Amino acid sequence: MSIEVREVCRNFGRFPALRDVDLEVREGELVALLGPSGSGKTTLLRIIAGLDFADHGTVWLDGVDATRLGARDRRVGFVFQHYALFRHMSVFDNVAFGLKVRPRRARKPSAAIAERVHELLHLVQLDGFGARMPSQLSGGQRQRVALARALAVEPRVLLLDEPFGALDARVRRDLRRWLRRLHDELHVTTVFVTHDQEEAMEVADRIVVMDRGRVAQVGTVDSVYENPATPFVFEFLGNANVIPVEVRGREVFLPGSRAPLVTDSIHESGAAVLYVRPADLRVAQPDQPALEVIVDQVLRTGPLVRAEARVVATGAPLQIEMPHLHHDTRDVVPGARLHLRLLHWSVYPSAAPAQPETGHDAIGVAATRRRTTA
Amino acid sequence: MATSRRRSPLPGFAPALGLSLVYLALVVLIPLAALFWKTASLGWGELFATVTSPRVLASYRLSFGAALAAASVNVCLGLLVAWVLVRYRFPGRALADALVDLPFALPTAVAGITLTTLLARNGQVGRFLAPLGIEVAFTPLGITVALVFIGLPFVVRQVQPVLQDLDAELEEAAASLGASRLQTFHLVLLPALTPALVTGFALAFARGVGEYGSVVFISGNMPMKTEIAPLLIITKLEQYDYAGATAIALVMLCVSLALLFAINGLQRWGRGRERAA
Amino acid sequence: MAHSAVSALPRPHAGAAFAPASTEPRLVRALLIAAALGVVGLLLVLPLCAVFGYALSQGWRVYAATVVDHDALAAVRLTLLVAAICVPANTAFGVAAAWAIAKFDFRGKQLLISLIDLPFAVSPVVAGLIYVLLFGMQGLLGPWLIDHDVRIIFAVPGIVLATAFVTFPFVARELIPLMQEQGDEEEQAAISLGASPWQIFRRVTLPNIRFGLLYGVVLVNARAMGEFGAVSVVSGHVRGLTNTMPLHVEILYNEYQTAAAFTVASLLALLAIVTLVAKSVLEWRIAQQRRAHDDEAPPGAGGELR
Repeated sequence: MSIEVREVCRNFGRFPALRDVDLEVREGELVALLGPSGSGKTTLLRIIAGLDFADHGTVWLDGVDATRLGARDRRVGFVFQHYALFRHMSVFDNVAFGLKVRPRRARKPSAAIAERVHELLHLVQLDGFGARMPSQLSGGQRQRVALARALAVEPRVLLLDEPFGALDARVRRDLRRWLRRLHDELHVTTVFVTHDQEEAMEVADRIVVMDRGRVAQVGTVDSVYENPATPFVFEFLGNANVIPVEVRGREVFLPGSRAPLVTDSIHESGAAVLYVRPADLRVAQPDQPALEVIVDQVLRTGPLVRAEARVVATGAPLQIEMPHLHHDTRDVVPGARLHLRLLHWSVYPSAAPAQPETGHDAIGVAATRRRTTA
Repeated sequence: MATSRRRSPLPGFAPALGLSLVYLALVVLIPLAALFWKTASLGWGELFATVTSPRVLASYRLSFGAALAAASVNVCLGLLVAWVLVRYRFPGRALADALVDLPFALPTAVAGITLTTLLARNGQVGRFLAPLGIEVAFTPLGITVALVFIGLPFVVRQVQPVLQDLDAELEEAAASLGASRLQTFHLVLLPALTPALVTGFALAFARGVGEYGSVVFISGNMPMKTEIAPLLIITKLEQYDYAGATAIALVMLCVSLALLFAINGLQRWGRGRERAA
Repeated sequence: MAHSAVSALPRPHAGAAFAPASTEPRLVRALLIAAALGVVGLLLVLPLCAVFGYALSQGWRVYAATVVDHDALAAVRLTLLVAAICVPANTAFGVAAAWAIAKFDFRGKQLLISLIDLPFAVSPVVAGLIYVLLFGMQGLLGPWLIDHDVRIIFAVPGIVLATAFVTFPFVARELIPLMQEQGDEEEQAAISLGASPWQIFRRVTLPNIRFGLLYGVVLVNARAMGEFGAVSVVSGHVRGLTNTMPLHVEILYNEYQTAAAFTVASLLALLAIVTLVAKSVLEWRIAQQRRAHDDEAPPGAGGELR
């Protein structure tokens, strides 16, 4: 089933939880709503589910206007962060619930229900757990029961609200991979909410990055990671070094460097900010555009070499990360004076508001970008 | 664009609220309104005169005074009982704990006649006190004893949860800093229990002021001496002095409302303390 | 939100781990226990035993004769009738009010909660008085009632109403904190799975609140059967017709039929004992339910992902 959200707004009192949000989820996709707390992602998910209602805007499920429909009529499967298992019912009864509450005419006979429940318990790898009570299960097991329960009614879409948020790290990693495999097997359109960018990038087909009630960027994992539309997206998806630069037409001048970086697109000339990841820095050849730094501290932690340095021209700190077997790392020692080239970077207008005031399309707003050669 | 009404995903709000409000209005609000309606028809002058007549004032003094005394006694007894029930293990603890609620569960008339019979001069308890010159039944002392019976669970049940949730570490810290047990109790535990004690006091007091069934038998009901305010209301009603009864009741109602307000505030204070701790 | 000791959420004092570090010297402990037991014994146990003692003071035959006396039986019947009306009515109200308050947000919620608390604060005699002022002969609706030949005051309906007023808050005040504590996520899950409103209540909410509900019912019942002050005002004290058991006790006592009075009182005391037992059991069950919900099995107890 496809989902379309148009111009949805939701306020809690005076707090704008969602501002003019548009979203499209295609049939069979696995989409992650990613953002920090307060970004509106859970609110959006609940509005899609019919557990909350927008102040303005519409929700379309499979091309049909579902805005006024309640959760009961939308046939969505919802999985809560804290499982919301029916505490007084066994695992079997929990999973069977959606099938048992169907109106008499539409209800399957108990034998068929039992078969489906066992099928689902097998799917979530909890065979034989039917008689247990939720209080006898671990967090990861409870979440799997919650998933089985949601799937039992053959929902058109599966919505998961920070499904692994309440679990510890190891269980979380196992479960998110398992979720991906499950999705590949079942092909149910799935939307899940998370604040963990690693989780989103590992599991989802497409990511929707949300910031303070707006969609900051939508795209595949790669496109969002490599071409972040705004500084917010850049910083949310990974570490960032922020460097003030000078832009002239197609050329970007690093502080203290005479050779400019060259971009594909034309930007507004003037002061701007350049964002580069610590892992995208290498030692430069003499004639390449480079950043001059002095290394302060070096930490060799297993697979990575981390260094803290200072940009000579501005005195601002810079984080460097290199794989430990890279031939450049022998030059990274405390006190060393290095010229660093940028493998990959993004440029944004200086003092741009983190969110533009018009619409959701940070993508459209001027000056983003681009990259260079190694 | 389409605007949707804000609603909750759960059903049944309107019928549940509607039913509640209708029932509330029918059983509580409209009848209470009748009291104020009647008061309005009295006029301030008559109201004031009734309320300040000597007999009425005496009954207020008695009801409020005895309730105050009883609530104070209950603070001490209640703290003792709560402490022992929470802190110590002994045979019969569970039974004693359950019995604390007896004054709630026992009909007031039963408590009334039992206490009276026990404390009368020839009663099982009264006969030990009579030679000492202590008269309990048919005196304000008897009223106070009855109110102590009634009010005990209020204090105990307020203090128990707070005692249970108290962190043992607080006392251990105090001991490690050199405080004696008594000092720890006085300086660390008592302040932590104060909101609960005050709330329990207020609840016991509120209940005692309006208490009728358990008091009317033991009080002797002599006007100006041992006549409690609720009884005076009934007496006036029997004499068809509706106005007089209403006036007395109005004062009691206002006091009750003020106490309710105060108790709510006290409980919020108590919860705030708990969170801050 | 107000709690009174009467319906403060039952705490797990039975069977909960008790506070260690009780370092009073043994002697002090023993003295305190003795003192507390003394209070409990003198103030609580003694009167309870005395009821039965006085009731049987003239022997079993007199006891039995009193119980089957015509007026006594009529009082019992009336008491049961009043309870049979007030308990379901106040329970239904309590459930409805708790549903609205615990699962939804609306303006005036705090006011509603305070209004529900109101009957607690009012003296029972005042509670009876207000019904007299409304339905009595000189009351607000008096003339209308006389014209239509409807008797409320000094008749059974008045007793029912006054009792309903006095027992009004009990169920609501038990359920509101309980349902608030349980949240509404299970109900949301149920509705997302396609359950109808009634199915949600019956299959999800009710099983979760059943002990709290029973607890409230036990309290309402005890108070409804034992109410004296309010009923005293609105009843006509007509033996055999408008006397509940507590009123009958009063009449017998005032006529110096002490043993008979205590006989009827002993029946009420039995009710009190049953109430106490039911209360304790339910408190324990509620605490148990709460603990089970908070528990979580550690990972590695089987059923791990492969």
